[in-house]
Amino acid sequence: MPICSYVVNVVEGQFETLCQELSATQGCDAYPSDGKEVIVLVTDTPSKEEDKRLYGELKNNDKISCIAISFADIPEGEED
Amino acid sequence: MDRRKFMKNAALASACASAAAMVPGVTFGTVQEVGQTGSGLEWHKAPCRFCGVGCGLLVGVSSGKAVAVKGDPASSVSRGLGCVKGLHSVQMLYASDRFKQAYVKRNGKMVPVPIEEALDIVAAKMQETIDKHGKDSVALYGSGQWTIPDGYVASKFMKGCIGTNNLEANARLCMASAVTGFLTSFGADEPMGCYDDIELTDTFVLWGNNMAEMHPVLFSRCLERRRLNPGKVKIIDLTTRTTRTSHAADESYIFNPQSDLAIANGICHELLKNDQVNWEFVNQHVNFMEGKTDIGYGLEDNFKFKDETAKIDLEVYRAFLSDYTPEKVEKISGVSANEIRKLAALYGDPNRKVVSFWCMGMNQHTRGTWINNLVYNIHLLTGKISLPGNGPFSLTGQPSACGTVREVGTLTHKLPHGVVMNPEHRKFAADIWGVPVERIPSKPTHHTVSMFRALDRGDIRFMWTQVTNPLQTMPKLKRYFEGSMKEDRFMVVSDIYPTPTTAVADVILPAACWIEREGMYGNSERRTQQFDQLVQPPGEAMCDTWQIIEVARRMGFTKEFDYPRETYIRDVYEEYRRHQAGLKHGMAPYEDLKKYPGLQWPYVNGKETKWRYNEKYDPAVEKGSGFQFYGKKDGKAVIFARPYEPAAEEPDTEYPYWLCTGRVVEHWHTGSMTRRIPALHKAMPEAYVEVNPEDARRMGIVDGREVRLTSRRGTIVLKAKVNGRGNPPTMSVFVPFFDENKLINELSLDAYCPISGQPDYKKCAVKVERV
Repeated sequence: MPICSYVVNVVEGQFETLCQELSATQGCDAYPSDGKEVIVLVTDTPSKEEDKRLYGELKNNDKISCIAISFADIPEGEED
Repeated sequence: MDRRKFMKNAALASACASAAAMVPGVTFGTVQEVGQTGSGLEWHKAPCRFCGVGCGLLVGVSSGKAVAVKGDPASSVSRGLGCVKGLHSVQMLYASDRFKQAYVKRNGKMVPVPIEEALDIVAAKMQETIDKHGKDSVALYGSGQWTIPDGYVASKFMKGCIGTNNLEANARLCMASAVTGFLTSFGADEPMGCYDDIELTDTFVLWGNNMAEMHPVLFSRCLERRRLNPGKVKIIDLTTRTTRTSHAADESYIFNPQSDLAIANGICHELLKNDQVNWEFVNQHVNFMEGKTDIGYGLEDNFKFKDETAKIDLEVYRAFLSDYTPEKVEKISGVSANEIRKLAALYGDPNRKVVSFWCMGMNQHTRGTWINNLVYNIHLLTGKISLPGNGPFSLTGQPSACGTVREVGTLTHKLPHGVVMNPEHRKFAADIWGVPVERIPSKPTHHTVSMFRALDRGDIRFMWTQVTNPLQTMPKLKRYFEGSMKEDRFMVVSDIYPTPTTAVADVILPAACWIEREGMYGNSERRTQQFDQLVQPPGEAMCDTWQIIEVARRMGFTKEFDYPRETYIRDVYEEYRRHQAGLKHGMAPYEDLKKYPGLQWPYVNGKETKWRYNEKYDPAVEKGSGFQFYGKKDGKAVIFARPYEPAAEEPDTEYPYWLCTGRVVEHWHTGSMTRRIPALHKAMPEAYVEVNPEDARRMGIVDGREVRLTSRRGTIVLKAKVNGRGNPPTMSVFVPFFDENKLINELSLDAYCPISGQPDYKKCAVKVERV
């Protein structure tokens, strides 16, 4: 059951929408910054496959200009 | 709090810290709520555990665990920055296969035992080996990741108590040529300048140094310096393959392996020819000398070499350089004559400040001492040395290669102050150690390659390795792997995770790592950095310093190692400081180190020394002398006539490619720590071979396809990387060494610089085949 966190840079003008979108996404906790267009995102998924799928979705989200992983806890046996 | 909640809070804290490093001033009001539910972090200073830059970190501790890292804004080294490894570093403490107890081999199997029992076995076996085979049959092999106290007690134990000089460290594999370069040119080790030079110079010349990946925080300071001074500040990349550094540089010159020797001489040729020499400086502060030539490569067991140097005059030196006209250098190096002239013009421009940086490219070189000498020649001829913004600067690869291996002196010929060959130095050490002077042997025994050869031959029967992984890093690995497995060899390994070296151990001692114990590191710019114990080590894991103290006491050296458990790190450091007292190498007192992110030596009357050998900044320089290279009796540095000589092994019809090995930004050294950090492992899961696109097209190799590399020593299959982050020239390949499943050192050659004993990991011949 992987837990990861990311620093998310947002495409100009999309901050509010993206915060709402991420907060509503299953397995995502979004923490918007105060006054800067940066979001901290913590993901909690039931499996490695689900973690991969979610990460793929985030990478393809056109409201995200850059996403950088900061932390990953992938329980034993689930690493690549 | 349950584990899941704890990990989520740790993930959140880590990302907030990363965001703060990326976006200064960023805050997360909503995260306060999480803080109130129990994730409140306490932040403590610590130098980074990885490379030799010595970035200052703040480690966030919560509920007894280190859970977050951010850059320390108070660190003059990193100024709040951190690289991808440093910012993930705490996660390397918590992988599931961490050694938490000792293991001893019984009936061919490793079985867990209490650590006290394992220490008894180590002491007994060491004594038994000495009784049977003599003092020189036991060896201790440490590391530039040893803290200063680890290295100090190792030296005292082996040299002062056991009475053998069989003490070496892996910094021999990464820094020894820099040491012998400094000693031969200046009579004293370590750079004269400091990182402040980055913000004061106009020109960075990087000699075989992929700084963007290996020293990213310092490189970001170089880039910032250039960004703030567009048009003036230049970054010049001298390299054997195109790297991320090349892409960021203003100019990148690809040279043939080993030909840096010719390039440096070519630059000096032009400086003299164009009279771009600072004659006042040269006449007052420099001697000209030459040494032996055609000096061999150390490929044979028991190879011996002693350089013989003699003074020459300027005209002899000028005549020597006539072999290095730009046109002749072009033929050797592949760098055009015009580019050689351009480089010389940059160094020679009186209105331009120049810093030369290098690391493994110049040091892991069969003429490593020479190329260090030759780059010093350029700075000495131009007088661009020991001045703010001007100087040669050898970077290091490990957090305490300087602080421990070079300064404490954990090498066969060294003592904490001076060398074993000098009777006064032996007496000085013996007095502080409280041991009879005759116990310290006067002759060095083995440098690292020689030590592992002695293990293979059986001259050494017992070896204790701490904080390093030689059976992944030794060149010509198979010989040393098989040597360590021979009957009647006893291998003790102190480490935190399983590695190829622990795989051959008879005893494994679980070690406390980094902030699980107190310690000090010394970085590339003579900066000593203390860190506290912030968390408990797991299970019975024990600090390396204390492991040595425990074994020494068991062998009867209780008086020499009578340090109380509560204060032993401070006491050991303060004892070590006595060896270095004085204007030339005075170390900061323990209490001062506790207060600051780091302090530079010579530390005199509460003041750091930023530029050595310059009267303005260095209190050890005699008044009125301007500059004084006080490592030399006459106070003069040396310009050496050292020729170009070819590499030990060059491509031929059977093995037509050059092989160069090195690192990648995601992983540190053998990857035993960084490969256990999920984000880093995911980013770079396995080693690969960089193939030039033209070679790849010719052989039908596409990106990701398996390729077989074969040298005279071994063979390996790796995935090809074509047009990746690095791009070697045609007929050459590059492979990183971090992957224990892809042991590239089974192919490398154990040729070394005869003066420094440092092997050359950058050049050997291989063939490349599509699988």
